[in-house]
Parts: sequence; structure tokens; C-alpha cells
Amino acid sequence: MRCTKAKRLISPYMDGELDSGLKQSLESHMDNCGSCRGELEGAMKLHDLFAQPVRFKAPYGFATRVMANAASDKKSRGAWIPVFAKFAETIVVLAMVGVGIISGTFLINGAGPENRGITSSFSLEIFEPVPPGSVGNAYLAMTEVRHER
Amino acid sequence: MAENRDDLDLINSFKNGEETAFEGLVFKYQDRIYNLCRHMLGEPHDADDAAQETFIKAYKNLKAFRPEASVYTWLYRIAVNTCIDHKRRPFFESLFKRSSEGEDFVLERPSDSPSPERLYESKQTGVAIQLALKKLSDKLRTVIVLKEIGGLSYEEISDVLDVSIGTVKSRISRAREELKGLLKEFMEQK
Repeated sequence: MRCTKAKRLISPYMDGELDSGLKQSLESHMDNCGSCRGELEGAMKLHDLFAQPVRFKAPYGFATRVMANAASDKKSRGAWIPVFAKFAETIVVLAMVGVGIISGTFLINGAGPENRGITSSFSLEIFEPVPPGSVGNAYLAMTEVRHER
Repeated sequence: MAENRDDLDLINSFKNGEETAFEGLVFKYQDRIYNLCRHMLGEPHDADDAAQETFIKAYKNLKAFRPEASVYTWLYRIAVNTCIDHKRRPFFESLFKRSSEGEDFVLERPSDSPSPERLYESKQTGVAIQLALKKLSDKLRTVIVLKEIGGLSYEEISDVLDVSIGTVKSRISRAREELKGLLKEFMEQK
């Protein structure tokens, strides 16, 4: 086995990923090759660095947050129904207002001479500031008499 | 295999409407997934975001999970893709990032009761590894993290990344070569 091939096999050898035939030939090569043995030692040293028993742990409350996010995600996925309901509600209200405006306009513009009496009866012009026969009217009459004097 | 059996039981319970079964999966894999994201992304809040996103994606797609696949390989695949997407996020988002290397290192085996010197040494090693990993390309970082941190076999890595075993083998060799160069001084001090 040549050194170039042996060096390529060191990494899978270390990981136990070589078949028995290649493993044996690599081992017999390294028995006679100081350079490749050195390569293996260097690779083992690096591997040992990663094997330190220090690891990162998920932050406190991680699982609780995942479950809360999953629940809110589930809710938002089903949220198209209330959104649709609100949209439909707005459409109905707008339609009702529209119908009101259109029918009101029709009533005012569509009133002919025969209906004028009815229309004018709704006019504010028929109302006097003080209705006749009321206490206010009596008071105004008295003050007018006083002014005339 | 027994581990995957337990996972499949949890998934089946979830599929049958038992929501808490998913929480069981989260508890089981949260540290492994967070650890992977932390080594892939470097920053704690990025890792937290990516790990959260990984589980949310898993939650959404759990009903489509194929029982013949391994659960943790599937989760690792989602996590790797999420981390890669996370790194591609717009520049302005990275302006708000804060640096806090090594702040949440913990001992995997607390019962070992290491001396303060041993703990300090472990933290130093962790920081040195993180800095070196940051300098690798995404492809090389991903394979070496899956191998050395995730402890996956070449076959599992090829499954996670959807590449051939030959590609995994050559990427791991290249990653180790680059890391040896990057950590040369640190290894000589030890």
C-alpha cells in the first residue's frame, strides 16, 4: 500500500468504517511507515479533543416553548375560519349600509308632486322655534308686550 | 433499534391524537439537536432559534414521517437544513446578534465531578473547537459536526445529507485535515 492511499484511509479507519481487508493492509503498512503512523496519531489527537465530555444543553424551558409555539402555530393554521367570518361580517354590514343609502336616495329623488305633501311634512321648515300654545310661546308673547311698552 | 422503537411508539401516539407524545420526543432530543445547532451556528440565540424551528417543522410534518426511517436521523436532517437556512438570513438580522462564546457549556457526565482546572481546560477546548469550526466551509462543518458531535455513522450522515458514503468519507477527511491545521497550536500546547 502506498502512503497516499494509506493517508486517505486513516480517517475512515479511525471511525471504524473500513472493511476488514483494507483495515489489515493499512495496519501492516503503518507498522512499517513512521510518517503514516504520525498521521494517525495526529488524527487521534484531534478526535480526542472532540471527545471531551463537554456539551451544550438546551436552554431552560426549551421544550415548554416548543410546545407553546407548536400550539400557537396549530391555532394560526385553523385561523382562516374566524378571519373568513370577520370578512363576511364586514361585507354584510357594508351591504346593509349601501342598501340604506341607495333606498334613501331613491326615496328623496323619486318623490313626485303627489308626494310633496308627505315630503314637506318631514321638512324642518314646518317646525316653529316655539310651538303655539306652549309655555314658551306664552313667555315670548309677554316679553314682546313688555318690549312694545 | 430499541430507541427507534420507543420513538415510533411516541409518533404513533401523536398520530392518534396524543399531543403530549410529541413533548416526549422534544425532551428526548432537545439537547442533541441544540448541541448540533450550537456547533453549526456558533451563537446561543441562533442555536436556540434553529433548534426551536427544527422541532416546529418536525411537529408540522410528523404525520408524514416514514416509520422505516430513524427518528433522530430525520430530526438531524431537519436541523441541518434549518441551520443552513439560518446562516443565509439577511445581513441586517445579524447586526443584532450578540457574542457569548462558551457561556453555556455543561458537563455531559456531571457525576464525574471534575476539578476546576479540568473544567477550565474543557471550556478552553470547547471554545477552540468552536472557533475552528467557524472557519470551515458549511459542507465540511456539517459533516464533521454530525460525525464528532452527533456521533453518526457514515451511512447515517449520507442519509441525513442525501449524499453518497464516498462523499461523506472524503468530506470528513478534508474537514479533519483543515481542523488539524487550524488547531495545530492549540494541540501543541496540550
